[in-house]
Amino acid sequence: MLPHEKELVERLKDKPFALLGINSDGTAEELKKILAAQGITWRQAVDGDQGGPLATKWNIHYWPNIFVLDAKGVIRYRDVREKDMDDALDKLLAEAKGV
Amino acid sequence: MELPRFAILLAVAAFAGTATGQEKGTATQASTEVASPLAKKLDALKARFDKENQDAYDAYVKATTDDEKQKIIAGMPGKNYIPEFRAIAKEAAGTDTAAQAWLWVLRLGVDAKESWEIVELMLADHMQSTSMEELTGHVADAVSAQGEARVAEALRAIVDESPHASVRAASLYSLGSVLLESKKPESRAQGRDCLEALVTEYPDIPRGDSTYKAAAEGFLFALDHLQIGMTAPDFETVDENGVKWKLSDYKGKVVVVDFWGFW
Repeated sequence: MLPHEKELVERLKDKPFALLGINSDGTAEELKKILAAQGITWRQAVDGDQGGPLATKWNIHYWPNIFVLDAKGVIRYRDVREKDMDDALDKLLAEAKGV
Repeated sequence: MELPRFAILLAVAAFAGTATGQEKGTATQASTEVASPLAKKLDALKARFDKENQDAYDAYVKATTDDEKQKIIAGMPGKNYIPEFRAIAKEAAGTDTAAQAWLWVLRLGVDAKESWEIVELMLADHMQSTSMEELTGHVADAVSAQGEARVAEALRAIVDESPHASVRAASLYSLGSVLLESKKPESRAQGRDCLEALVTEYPDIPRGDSTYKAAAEGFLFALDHLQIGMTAPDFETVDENGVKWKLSDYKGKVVVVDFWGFW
């Protein structure tokens, strides 16, 4: 996951794209350590532990758990990884351009 | 990143700790105040399993090379304990010790055929037991092997017959989860009814650190707002530096929302 996500953020840095991490590792301090050690630069939410408010509200029972949204905010794909995620994002970015 | 497997096993052990040994001695089980020899035998076996599991976990945390870690994982307690738990379950037949031992057999993982035989035995012999709460999850897991109708029938029987609100709530939750996965629209509608019934009729039954009600509400929220084709509901959160942000800040962009953890 992580190497691909880094690649993605680099590849799409000039596109209307955002990767948003909702983290369930615990406190902000714990997350900071992980982000620094892993070289993670994209936006994060500190959601506490696995029973955190967003994970609970969004009914998250397994991790990682992925939602891909188009430029209008509509959920278009779930749990796509690697090449499937690349293809999904390319398609949605092409759509966004056409609007 | 093999830690999740430990986490699961430790969680299983923790759940076993809360779910067992608390059976309210029901009339039919003629349980006495003094633990029976088989109950003691079961406790000793559980303690041995837990210790071995904990020792493996401690060794894993200390291990420095991947080779060492792989070795520890391969040597962890697991299915090799099944024969001993099964033997106690058979010897203690009809008692709550048997119900608890069968749950261990199911947790450690047996094939689909034996798994369902245990479900049927528990339905016949242990309907009064609080062990049925955990059983409902194993019943739901059998859906691919046994089919929706058979699994739903078993779960409905538990909802109708268990004297314990915790067991009935668990069974409604499992039944709702199974029916919502159905190809038949009428089954999915019934699944929704199960979850709505949980929210209104079982407001404060604990489920792990949360409640069945909260779990059902999460399920219903996901059904109504988080399906493909639906507009993602906005949320506000805070980043690692304490800066607030909202999903709607990213409107106009293609967005990946990634719920993740580095455990």
